[in-house]
Amino acid sequence: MREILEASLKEITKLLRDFLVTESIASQKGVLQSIDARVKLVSLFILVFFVAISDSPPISFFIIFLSFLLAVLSKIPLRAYAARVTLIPAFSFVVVLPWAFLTEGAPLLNLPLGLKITHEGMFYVTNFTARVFACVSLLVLLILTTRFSSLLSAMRALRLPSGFVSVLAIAYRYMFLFLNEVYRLLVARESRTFKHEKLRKTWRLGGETLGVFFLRALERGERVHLAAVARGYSAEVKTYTRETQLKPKDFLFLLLSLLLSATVILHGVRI
Amino acid sequence: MSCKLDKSDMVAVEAHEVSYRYPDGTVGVRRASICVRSGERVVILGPNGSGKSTLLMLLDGLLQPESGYVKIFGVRLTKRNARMLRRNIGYVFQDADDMLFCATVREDLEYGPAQLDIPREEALERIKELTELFSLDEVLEKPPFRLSGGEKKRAAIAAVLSVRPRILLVDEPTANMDAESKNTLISFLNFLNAEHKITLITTTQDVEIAPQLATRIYIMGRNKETVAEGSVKEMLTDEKLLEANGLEAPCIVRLFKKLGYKNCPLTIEEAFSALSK
Repeated sequence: MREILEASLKEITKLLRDFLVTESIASQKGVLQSIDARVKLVSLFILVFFVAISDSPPISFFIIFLSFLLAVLSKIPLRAYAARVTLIPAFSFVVVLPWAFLTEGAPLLNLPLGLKITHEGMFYVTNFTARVFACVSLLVLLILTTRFSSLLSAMRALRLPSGFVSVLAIAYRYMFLFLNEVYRLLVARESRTFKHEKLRKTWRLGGETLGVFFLRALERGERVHLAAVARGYSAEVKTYTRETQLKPKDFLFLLLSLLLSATVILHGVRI
Repeated sequence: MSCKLDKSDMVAVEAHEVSYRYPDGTVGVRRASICVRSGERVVILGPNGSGKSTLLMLLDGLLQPESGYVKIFGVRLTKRNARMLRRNIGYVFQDADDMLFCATVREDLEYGPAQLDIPREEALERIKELTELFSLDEVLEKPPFRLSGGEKKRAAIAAVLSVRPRILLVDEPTANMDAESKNTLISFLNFLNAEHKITLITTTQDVEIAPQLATRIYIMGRNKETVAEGSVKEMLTDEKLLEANGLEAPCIVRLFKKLGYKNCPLTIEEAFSALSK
């Protein structure tokens, strides 16, 4: 139990610390922080879409370079940024690696047991990983430089379904409360664990903890619903829209990102 | 226990022998009755599990009684009119985390007025007032989970007051609060009652704070019924009644009873004056 507990506590603490770092970066005065959240949301999502369907590794590499440049200009600590953007591409690299061996084509490297890495296979692996890297880099930039509340307001202003935005808002609001709840549950359990448990019992206890957590989450959900009803909630969530004027630099950012998207389409997307 | 108020009194809240049982069979309240005048301060005092929170939910129409009825300003509360009548009622839950479900404190303050289609300008005006009143300026753009316990409680009350209710139901307002936050909150609640004429119904198990929050007390027992009603003095100096219902008289009362006083004080000031004589 101790190993599971320690790992879980470490993960929870890391998540909470990561969140605090994210909030502090979004509050800094940097290039991307000064851009309107609506413009950032639209521009970066358009760019992500075209990068995701592009077929040119140089384009993806250029976007990655640009993301790191923007990270520097937005005063994001490069180490923290790199740590956030490399995990998912590393995972996707492992997932697509077999394609380097399985794809038919001109051999690049012959290996024992009749295995060979082909040019086409390697291109596919590089292209896929680079695209994932580029998309993740852009999305992390958006998350790190925008307060979550501004992101939600931007979604509302862009007329995204109110149910979807509300679910996101509530998930964000209660994620940390639940993390704290799990933390307290695990610490309480550990404080009453006096001997090293066998693996089977460890898993059973882990399952019980999870069950108790779900019950608490359910009860909390019920209370939150009642509180919302008490404050006037009916089936539809109404909010006040805060229409702020876009500044020239917002238009410039939008224009530049549209130009960049056009470049990605022209040089990277096969039609 | 029936409504004992004079006919001339404007009754804000009346619950007549309401009973409620939760879906799992647990009894929430049993034949509970309370009657509160408009502008009055009343405390519902009872031990843990005596049904105080359930009674508040029944008064807010969040739960429907199995038997008995609830009237708000003389109108019987039903499932159909609950939403309309609830506009008069603000319900502050015991755990402020249940109430502050928006991304920032500002959005939480805006939530109620937005649901009631109050024009944005008017809502902003109210929020400005409440922000000043509750000293929330510095936390307005913060996510609620970054607030301290006292700030959360103040934000939760402000969120409820943004719809300008005439009745405020407050469930265990001082639970898990330090002495300073407790005193500030009690002053706020009394200020709202005195200045804005808001009817205040508070639940608590803390006999020490009850004299500061009420002029009249209802006692709920472990059998989940309202067992007694009377002035603060009558209720809090009746040691037998309190003990029979899982409560204990305030420290000052117990001390002065031991000293042989018949007219026991309830506050430090009263005690000081009694001892000075």
